[in-house]
Amino acid sequence: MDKLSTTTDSREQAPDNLYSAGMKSLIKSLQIVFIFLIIIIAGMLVRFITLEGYFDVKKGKEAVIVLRFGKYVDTFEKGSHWFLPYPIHKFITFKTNRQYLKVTFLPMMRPMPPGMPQRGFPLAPGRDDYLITGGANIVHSEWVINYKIEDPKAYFENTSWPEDPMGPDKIEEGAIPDTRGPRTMLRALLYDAAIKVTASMKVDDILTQKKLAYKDAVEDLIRKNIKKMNCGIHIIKLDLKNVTPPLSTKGAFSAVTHAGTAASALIDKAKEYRVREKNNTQSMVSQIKADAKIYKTIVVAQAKADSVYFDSIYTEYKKNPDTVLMALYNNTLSEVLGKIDQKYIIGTSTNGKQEIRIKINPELIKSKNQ
Amino acid sequence: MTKKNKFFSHWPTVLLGFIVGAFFLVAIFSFQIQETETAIVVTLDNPNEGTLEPGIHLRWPYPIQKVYRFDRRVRCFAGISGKDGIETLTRDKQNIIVSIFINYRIVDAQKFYSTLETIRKGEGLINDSMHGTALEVFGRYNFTQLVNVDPKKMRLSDIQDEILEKLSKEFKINGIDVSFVGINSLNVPESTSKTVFDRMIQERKVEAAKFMAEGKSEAQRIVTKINSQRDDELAKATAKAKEIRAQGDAEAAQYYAIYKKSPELAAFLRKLDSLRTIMKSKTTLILDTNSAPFDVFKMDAEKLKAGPRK
Repeated sequence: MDKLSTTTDSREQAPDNLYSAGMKSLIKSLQIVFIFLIIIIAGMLVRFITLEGYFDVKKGKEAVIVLRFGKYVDTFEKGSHWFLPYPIHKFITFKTNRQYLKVTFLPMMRPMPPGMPQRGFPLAPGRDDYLITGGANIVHSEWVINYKIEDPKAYFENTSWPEDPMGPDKIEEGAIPDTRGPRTMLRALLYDAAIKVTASMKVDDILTQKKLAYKDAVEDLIRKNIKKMNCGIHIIKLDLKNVTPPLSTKGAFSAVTHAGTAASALIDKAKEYRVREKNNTQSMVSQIKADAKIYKTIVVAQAKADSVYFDSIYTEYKKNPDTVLMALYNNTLSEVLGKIDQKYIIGTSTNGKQEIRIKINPELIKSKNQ
Repeated sequence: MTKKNKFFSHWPTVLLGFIVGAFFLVAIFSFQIQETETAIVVTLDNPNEGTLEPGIHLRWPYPIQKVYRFDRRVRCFAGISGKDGIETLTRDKQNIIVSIFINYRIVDAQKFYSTLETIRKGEGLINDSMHGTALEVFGRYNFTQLVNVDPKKMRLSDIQDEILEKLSKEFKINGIDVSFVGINSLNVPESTSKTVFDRMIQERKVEAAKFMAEGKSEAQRIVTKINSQRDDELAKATAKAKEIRAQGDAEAAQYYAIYKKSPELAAFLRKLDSLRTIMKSKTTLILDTNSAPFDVFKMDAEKLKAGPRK
């Protein structure tokens, strides 16, 4: 009976043992998985705390603002730093190197047949951008704003919008389409400054001689307004890439330019004449004065020589006047007549009438015949 | 093994559980307000008093308490029409198309939420108001006060200031601070632009003619001036030369005093000098035999006539 009951028990215990062995293995496997999971989670936690809170700031290129529970802590513009990561700290990175924004006041280009140049059309607001000058004329222009974030804290607190300051301006969702953000604001401030300054200047000044002053005035105004906004942005410089009259009036403006060039050429020619004439005059003046001085020298020297000569002749003349005079007369005549090519000595006719035919200056006639 | 011992033997699991649990609790019962935000807490649809400062705050979880946060940084808003602008008349009945933009910020979340609730509603109201105000203010000024080369007559800044003042006052009760009003576009209607072009072309023609006339006039002025200067300088030089010559003559005359000893001899010598000067080569000279020394020819002829001497 006992043996039988023992056999029966062992038959009943066999599945129990089997079940408990399976459970034990399952529990052991789960324990291993659980420990493995804990190790992974702990590893992730360690990685999160150490690496997620570390950041490196590239000097001169970016700035990092640190917020603790959303509150401003500090701005870092260089070096490596570590803080407890989100949700305790939040790091916001800004580009602080030079950035560009192109703003244009140009008409929309219409499709033209191939090879045909673009021609002017009436300008439709909304489709074509332009500026009105002080004299109610129209000009087009292209600008490039060179700027950088100078004060990251002010930029972050007052201007940067959207959440990611490195991204494009936020597009406001909903019924009102437009962007809100620093680049939108910069663009709008340039619109405002360009409209105001253009409206106070003459079209010719803007297009020609006062182009630089025009650009400077727009730059000054946008700087002033940026400062007023305390938005942390610094305008490095504003470039006026181009300013032109409307296409429809370009021919007329070119004609003015040509007229200006022609007028300048006339003036230049007159100036050249002035320089030449001035030099000629100076030379003539010098010549006249030099001639006069030479004359003076010669006349005085001659007079002096003559007086000496006279004095010496006079001594002899006093002793024998006729002889001296005759001698002087004959000497002079010999000297003078010796140099003369053509001499005619004509005897006096007895009746006082005689006709003489002489060919005067035969050389001249000869040369004429030649 | 006792219960206490079991607890300590599984401490990493328990700690992890605590950490996760704490995270969940903090996430559910707290929220952060960022430096750039303004926010209010609404408890069962009733706004709590006051706006929240940046930092961490406690709350009851949704749906008991809701947090409404608004970015309080400057938003540049040009309205629904944007740069397209709206056509209006100036005081002197000139058609213009203007658009303005405003820079605004939500400074009081409490007021903003209770009066406007959402940004969309707020900007809708701002849009209506900013354009209405702009049209009203622009309509009180002449076109020549908008564009003018004389800074004293320009009133664009005054217009902006007026609009800014009105909008600032109007939206203060909504918790909105309007900090800047600017002009986005100032244009004329399409049909007017054609007229402007015609006028510009005409003005250019006048300008071109003016340039040419000025150029010619300036060139003529330069030529006349230099000619006048030249004549003047030559006249002065001639006068100076005359003076120098006169000095020379005067100086020479001092030597002529010696001629007083015998004026006849002096005259004779001068005559001889004159002969030397006048009679140069290529001179044709006709003399008769009455002039000395050619009278020698005559004497010989008479001698021949008389016959040989005895």
